[in-house]
Amino acid sequence: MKESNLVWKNTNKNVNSEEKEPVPEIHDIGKLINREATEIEHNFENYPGKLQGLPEIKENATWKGIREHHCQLPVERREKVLEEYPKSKETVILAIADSLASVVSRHIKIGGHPFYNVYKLWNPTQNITRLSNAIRAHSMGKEWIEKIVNFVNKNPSKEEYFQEFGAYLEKRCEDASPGCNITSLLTHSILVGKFYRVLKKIEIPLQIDFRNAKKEEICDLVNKKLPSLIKLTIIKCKIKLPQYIHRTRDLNIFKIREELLRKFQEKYPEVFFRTSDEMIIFSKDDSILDEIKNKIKKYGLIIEITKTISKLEKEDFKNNFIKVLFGRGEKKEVLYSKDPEDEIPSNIGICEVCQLSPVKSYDILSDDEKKLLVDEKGRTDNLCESCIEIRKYGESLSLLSKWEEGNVAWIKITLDFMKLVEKLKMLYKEYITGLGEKDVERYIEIRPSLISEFQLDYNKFLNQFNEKIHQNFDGEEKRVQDVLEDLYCIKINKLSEIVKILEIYNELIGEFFPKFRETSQFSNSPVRFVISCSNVKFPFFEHWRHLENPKYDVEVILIGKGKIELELNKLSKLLDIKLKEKTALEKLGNISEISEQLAWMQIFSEEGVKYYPELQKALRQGFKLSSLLTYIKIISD
Amino acid sequence: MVSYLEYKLESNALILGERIKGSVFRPSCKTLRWSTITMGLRKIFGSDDIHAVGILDHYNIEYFVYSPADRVTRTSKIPLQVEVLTDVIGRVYILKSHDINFPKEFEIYLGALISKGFGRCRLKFENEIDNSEIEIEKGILNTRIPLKYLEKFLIKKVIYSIYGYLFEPTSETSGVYIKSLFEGSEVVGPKFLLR
Repeated sequence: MKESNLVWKNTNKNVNSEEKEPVPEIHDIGKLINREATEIEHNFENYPGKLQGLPEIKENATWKGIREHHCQLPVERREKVLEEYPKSKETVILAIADSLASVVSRHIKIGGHPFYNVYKLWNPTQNITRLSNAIRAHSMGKEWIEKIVNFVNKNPSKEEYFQEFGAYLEKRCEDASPGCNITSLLTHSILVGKFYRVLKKIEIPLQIDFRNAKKEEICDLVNKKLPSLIKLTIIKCKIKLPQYIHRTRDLNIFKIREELLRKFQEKYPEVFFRTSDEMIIFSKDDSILDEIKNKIKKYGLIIEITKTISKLEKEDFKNNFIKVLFGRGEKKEVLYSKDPEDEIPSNIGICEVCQLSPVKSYDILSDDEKKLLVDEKGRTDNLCESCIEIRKYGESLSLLSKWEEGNVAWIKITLDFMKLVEKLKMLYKEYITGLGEKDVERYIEIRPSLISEFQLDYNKFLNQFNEKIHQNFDGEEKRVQDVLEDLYCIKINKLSEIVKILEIYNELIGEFFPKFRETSQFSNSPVRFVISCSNVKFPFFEHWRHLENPKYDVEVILIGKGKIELELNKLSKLLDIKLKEKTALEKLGNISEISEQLAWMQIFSEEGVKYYPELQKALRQGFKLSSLLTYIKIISD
Repeated sequence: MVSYLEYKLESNALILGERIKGSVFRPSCKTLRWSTITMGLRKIFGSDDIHAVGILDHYNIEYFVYSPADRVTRTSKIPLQVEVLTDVIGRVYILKSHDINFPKEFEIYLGALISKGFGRCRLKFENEIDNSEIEIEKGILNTRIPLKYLEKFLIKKVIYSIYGYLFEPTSETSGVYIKSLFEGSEVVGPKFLLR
């Protein structure tokens, strides 16, 4: 035991280890060990504690990061504090990154026995008070500790770390204090890695002699001075499409946009969240956007930027993050790929797709470009240079371009970040109140870590949806056209197949986000679902108007025939409605074509008691008559 | 000194077509853009010195299907589905000009398919808004105005721009597409033009 402690003392002066970079993601690996039982602190400062026969620590930069990523003084916390503290620039940055990525401010911990599992606000489970049960591994066993120590001794990469321990990190919460166990160690580790790499790019004013500095001095620097000095730019960047897309071969623009954003995220750790059309970025300044601004030029995309500069002090940072997320940053701007010209003479004309640029003269088009402009009926589109580039981009959606007749259902799942924050606030309040706290308002804060935790589940939800849609609709004939991770087009043989799509969505909502079903007039679901159905030849932009900005939690639009508009809590009820009297329903459908009011009277007539009891019940439950009549059209087909 | 004449607009059915080519579905614009109302008024009152914009406060959306006939072959083309705004109530703001005396009440035909009975609008004078009464605020623009005429409508600052083009005829047979600020843009301007 003594020998191991000596290893620490020696390595503290190891100059070589300070020159190497720690893998920041691994800093909290010690939280996978049961501290109560083993007495090993999660920063391993007292390793191996009372245990014997454990491997020695082979010092490397990651071990240094693990040991020195906290900076605690007794005045800040009543409980026993960790003795170790940052003793290099790298570990100072790691400590700041750790603090930025933590789920809540340190001052809002509720007392009580720790809960080690992740309590997902949108999909809660019972709290677990034993670490081994939470992570489903013998967290105090020698073998387990040996595995962890030997692993870090090998100086692994972050990829190896997530491969080996990802499943455990996903189950263990970052902070086990009751009320704080709302994000996983996995999310926390990813965020710390990102913040660390972003902060490394910033010139940090560190004029300190680590060898002679006292702990108090460094703690003051890490916890107070640096967070008030260092500034980060928080950016929300939305890439918008140029206006109307009415030909399926112009849908390439979706692929282009998604690929641009995906590649950008892969390249820059500064991208913290990404959907198919927007990103949230934490960066030293907004020059990071130069590259993407350059790339969008070619395709005529429009970029909408909201940004603000924030200090790293927790309150400031949290408030600014929420401000930007809500699109209320200090600076908001829209950048066009190129500034539209002041006037375009009518003999030149404006592009029929984007309507923002002059038409490229037919005479200067190459033969390949000319081919791209002619449709199957021989009509020629007049397009600008950017829109021609979009058509050149790879293969268009292969299935969709083959479908000549019949109906299609466009499906879009949308995550509204603003609604998500509101909902999470409400659910967090509910959780804290359930723990017996009265003064709950001061606990309610939504930080990037919680949004990030949600996004992990949201991505799984999208993957599951994709899998189930393909399972149910792809047989001998491929009927599902993937467009984006949250946008599909399905060829449907009968309108009644829409019910299956709704059932899949409803089942997955129950599996991933059951709390979102608790909707009300003031708190709708942040995840929204739209199905827009028409003949395959119907122009896409009309679907897009419905798909892009859903107004209800669930919408089904039969273009020209009616629509269903629902709150999420009514979806199960709708799918449970059993309508048997087919002839009577057909008759009701016909009546409703003439007048909805007449259909209402029919339902509540004497005849209605016999034929439409389910509809009467549904109307009393608050369903809209128009939604029910559309549902009848769907199930009767 | 700028002042505006505010008229109440009422119409049973109006088609303010968006510029879409070769499509079987023709959506309608949901605001009364500068080009539609200005050109309509210029035609009636015979002056090129008229500038006006409008806001639609209420409308329902219905669909009208019709099949244009080919006059040469006397056959019908593919039927079109046209979006129609019905029971429309709106406001029109005309920049006051001393050369023209606008009547207190008049009829005007706006938009598409006028020959099929659409587009008849009744305009009724409501109010004259003097420069001193105009409240300037930051907000979201609710109509479409060419950039070169922004000053005429007291748009003081553009914070967030959504651009598009409006058509301005220069002769019987030709014209120019002029860069314009579309609804949804964030501006500092008269409260009555904001959402």
